[in-house]
Amino acid sequence: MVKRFLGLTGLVLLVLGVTWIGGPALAADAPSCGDCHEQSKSFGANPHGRAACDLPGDAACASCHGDGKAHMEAGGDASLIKGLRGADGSETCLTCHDVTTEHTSYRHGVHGVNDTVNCLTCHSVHTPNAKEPKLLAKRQTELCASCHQGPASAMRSKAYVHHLDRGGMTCASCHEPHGRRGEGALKLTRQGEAPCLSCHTEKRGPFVYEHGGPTTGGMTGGCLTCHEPHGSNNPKMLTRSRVDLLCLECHSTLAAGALGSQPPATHNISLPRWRNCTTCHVAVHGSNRSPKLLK
Amino acid sequence: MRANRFLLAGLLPALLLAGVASAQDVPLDVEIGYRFTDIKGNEEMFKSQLDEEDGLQLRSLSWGLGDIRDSNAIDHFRLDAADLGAGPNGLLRVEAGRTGYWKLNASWRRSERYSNLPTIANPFLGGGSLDSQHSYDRTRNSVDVDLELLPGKKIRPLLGFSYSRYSGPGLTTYHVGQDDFQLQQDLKERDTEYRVGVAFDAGPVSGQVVQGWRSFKSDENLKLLAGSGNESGTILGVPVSLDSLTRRSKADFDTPVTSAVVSGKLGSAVRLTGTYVRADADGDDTSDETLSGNLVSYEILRYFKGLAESSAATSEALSWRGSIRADVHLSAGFDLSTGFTRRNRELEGYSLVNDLWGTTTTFSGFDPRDVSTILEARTRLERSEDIFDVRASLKLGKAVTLRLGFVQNQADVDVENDAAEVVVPGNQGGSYDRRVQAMEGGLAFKLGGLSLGADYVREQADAAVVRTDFRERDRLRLRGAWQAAKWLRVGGNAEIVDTSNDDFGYGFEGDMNTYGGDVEIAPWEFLTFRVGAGRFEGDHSIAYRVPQTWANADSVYRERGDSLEGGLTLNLKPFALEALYRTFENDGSFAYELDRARLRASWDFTELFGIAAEWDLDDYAETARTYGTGADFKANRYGIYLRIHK
Repeated sequence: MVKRFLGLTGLVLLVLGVTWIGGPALAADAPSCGDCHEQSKSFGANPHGRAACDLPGDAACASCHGDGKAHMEAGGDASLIKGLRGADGSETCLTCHDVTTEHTSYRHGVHGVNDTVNCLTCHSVHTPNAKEPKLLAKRQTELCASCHQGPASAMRSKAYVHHLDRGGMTCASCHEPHGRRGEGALKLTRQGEAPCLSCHTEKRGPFVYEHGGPTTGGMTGGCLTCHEPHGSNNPKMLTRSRVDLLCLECHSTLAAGALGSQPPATHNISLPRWRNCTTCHVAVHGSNRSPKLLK
Repeated sequence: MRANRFLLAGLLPALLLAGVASAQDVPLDVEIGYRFTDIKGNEEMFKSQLDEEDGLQLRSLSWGLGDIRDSNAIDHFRLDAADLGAGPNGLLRVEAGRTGYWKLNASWRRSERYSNLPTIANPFLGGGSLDSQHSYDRTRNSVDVDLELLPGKKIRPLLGFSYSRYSGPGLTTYHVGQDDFQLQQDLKERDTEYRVGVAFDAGPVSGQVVQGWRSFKSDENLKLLAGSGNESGTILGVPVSLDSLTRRSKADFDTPVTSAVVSGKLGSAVRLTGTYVRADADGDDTSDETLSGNLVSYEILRYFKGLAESSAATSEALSWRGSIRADVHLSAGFDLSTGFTRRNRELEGYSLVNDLWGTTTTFSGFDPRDVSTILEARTRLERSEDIFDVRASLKLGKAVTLRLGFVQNQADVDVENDAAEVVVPGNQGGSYDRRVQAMEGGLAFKLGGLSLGADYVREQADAAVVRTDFRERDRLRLRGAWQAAKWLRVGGNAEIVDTSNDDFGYGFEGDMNTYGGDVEIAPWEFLTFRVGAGRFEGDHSIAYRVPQTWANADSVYRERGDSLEGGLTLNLKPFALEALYRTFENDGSFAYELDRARLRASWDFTELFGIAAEWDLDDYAETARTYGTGADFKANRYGIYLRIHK
C-alpha cells in the first residue's frame, strides 16, 4: 500500500514537474479561415488544433489544406483549396501519422491506403462523432460493420458472443484496424500473444502440463482450436456442440503422426458421465500438478 | 457492485455541476437512470448469456473540457463511460494531457461473468438436471494507465501500469477415488504490470524501448459441496463417497518483458523496421489437499479412506521474438512490404506431488496400512517459428488496386513428457515440423459510389501437428457496396472457407460459409430504414476412434443459421427514435431460435436536460433438445434515463 502511494505520488510530481518545466501555455491563435468555416471556431478542442496551436494564423488550416489565399480571394472557390478525399487525401494524413511497427503500419496495414478504404473512411477531422474517441466518424462497431457484415451479424445474432457496444466492448478491443495483414490485424498483447489473453489473463500460464501450447498455425491457434470468438451457437463459444466430440477430434490415435493421446477404453462415451470430459478434466487450459489435467 | 455505486454517487454531482458551470466545445452527454428486468423462463441461461441486472446505471457519458489551451497544466481532457453500475460490463476512460508535455490514457473496465450452462459438465442432463456442475459468478476489474511525457519531442519517457483482478465464487468438480464430487470454489487472481520506457525520434530513425514487469498471483480455496458423486452404482462393490475435502492452492509468477522497436528511413522510398520482444516467465505453484471418505484408487490398486497431498511446481517459459521488415515505396501506387520473423518459446516444468493414502486395504480387503506415493515430473516444450512474408500492392489506374502476397511459416515443435505423466502410450510427445505456405491475392475496385473487393488465400501445409490442423485451406472473401444515391446504400459480403486434411487417419473436411447483406434507405435526412440478412453454414467432419470400442466413427458438426433484421432511426430533434428487430434461427447441431428487439426513444425537453427510454428483448428457445423448453427464456429489460447534454 505504501509502495503504491509513493508510486502514485511520484507519478503526479513527475507530471507536474514536466508541466512546470514547460512554462506558460502557448497562445491559441484562432485561424482566420473561421470567418467562413464554422468548424474552425471549435478547432482548438480538436487534437489537430492543439497540435497546430503554435502555428500563426491560417497556418494551422494550411498545414493540411495548403495555402488558402487564392481560395479566399476568389470568394471561396472550392477548386482553389486542397480538399482531402480518398486515398489522395489520406496521403496528407500520412505526412504526420506514418506509424510503422512490426505489426502496425498506417500505410501497409490491412486497411492500407487505397481508394476503397483509407484514413477518411473511418476518421473525420472536422465532424467526428462526439461520443467516439480518435475522431471516428461514426460509432466504431458501425464503421466496421459497414464492410464486415458477416462477423458483425454473427456477433449480434448468435447466442454466445462477446457483446458489442456493451461496457466498451468493440471490434477494436481485439482487432488492430491499422495492423498489417495476418496476425497484425489482431491487437496482440504487449508480449505478442493472442488478444484473448488481454482479458482472460488466467489462461496465460505457463503451466507444467500445457494444453494447446504446442499448436502451430500462428499465435492464435491455441484458443481458436476450440473457441469461436466472433459468436457461436454453442455454449462457452465452443466450435462444437458436444464437448466429448470436440476433445476426441484431436484425442484419437487414428493418425499415428499427430500430437494427441487416445482416452483409455474406460471412457465409455455412450454414458453421459463420460461424455462430459471437463467434469473430470477441469484444468482443461493447463495444470501445474495433474498430468491428466484433473486439477 | 458497491464500488460502482460509490463511483456513480461521486460522478453524478460532479457532472451536473460541470455541465452547468463550464462552457465547452466538446459536448457533455450523460445518461443516468435505472434498468428494470423481467425474466421469464430459465434465469440461469439468461445470466449465462446476458446477465443484465436491475439497478442504477450510468448508461453513457462523454465529457470533454473543450478548448482549454490557455490553461498551464492541461490543454485537453475527456472522460468517457459506458454502462457503469448495474452489470455486467462497464467502462470508464480518461484522456488528458498537454500538447508537447504529457499525454495520459487511462481506463477502468468491469466485467461480471456468470456461467451455469446445461450442456457443460452436466452428466445428469439426460435425467432432467439443467444445472452445470461447473458454474461461477465472478468479476473482473481491469485498469490500464499509460503516460507519455513530452509527446511529439525527440525523447519521450513512457510510463505504464496495468492491473487485472478476477475473483468470485464458483462450483467445480474433482475426480478422485474413481468418482467426481462437487466442490465450492473461491478464486482470487491478480495480474499486475508496471512499464517504463523511452521513445525517440532522431530524424529518419525512430523507435522505443519498454521494460515491463508483470506479476500474476492466484489463490484458490476449495471445499466439498456434496459427498455423493456422479457414479450412481458401486465401484468394485464399494459405494464411493467423500466426507470432507479442503484444498488450498497458490500460484506466483513473475514475468519481465522487454520490447524494442526501431524504424529507420533509407531515402524516401525504403523504411526498415526491427523488433525484439523477450518475456521470461518464472513462477511456482503450491497446493495442499486433505480429504476423507470411502474411496477406490486404481493408481495404487487399493481402497482408501483418506488422502493428504502436497504439491510444488515450478515452470519457466522464455519467449522471444525478433523481426526485420522492409517497406518499400517503389513508385506512385506501387508498394512492397517484406519481413522475416523468428519466434521461440521454451517451457520447462517441474512438478513434485506427495500423496499419503490413509487406511488403505487391498481390493480383497487385506493388508491395512498407509501408502505413500511420489510423482516427480519434468516436462519440456520448445516451439520455434520462422515466418517470411512478402506482399505487394499496385494501383491500376484510379479505380483498381491489386494486391499479391506470399507467406511461409515453418514451425518446429518438440514436446518432452515425463514418463510419469504418460497415461496411454503414444502421441503425447515427440518432435513435429509443419510448414504452411500461403498465396494471397486481392482486388479492390472503386468507381463513384460502387466499391467491390475480393480476397483469396490458399494455404498448404506439409503436415499436421494436431489432428484438426489443415493440410489445405482456401479462403475467399467477397465484398461489395453501392451508394446508389445519397438516400440508398446496398452492401453485401461473403466468406467461403474450405479446410481439409485427406491424409490417412484424419478424414478432416470443414466448410464454413458466411453471407451477409444489408440495404439502407434514407428518404429524408432525419429518417433511415435498414434491413439486413445473414446466413451461416458450417459442415465439419473428422474421423475419430470411439474410446470404449476402438471403432472408427466421424465427428460431425453442422450449422445452418439464418438471420433477418430490420430497423429504423428517426432523428427529429429534440426527439429521436431507434427501433430494431432481429430474428436468428439455427437448424444445425445445436438448434435454437433467438429473437432480439430493441427500442430506444429520447426527448431533449430543454437545452440541458432530456429523457431516454430503452426496451430490450431477448427471446431464446432451444429446439430439438431432450430437455424440452427447460433452457428457454424471455428477457425484457426496461431502462429509463435522465439525459444531461450541452
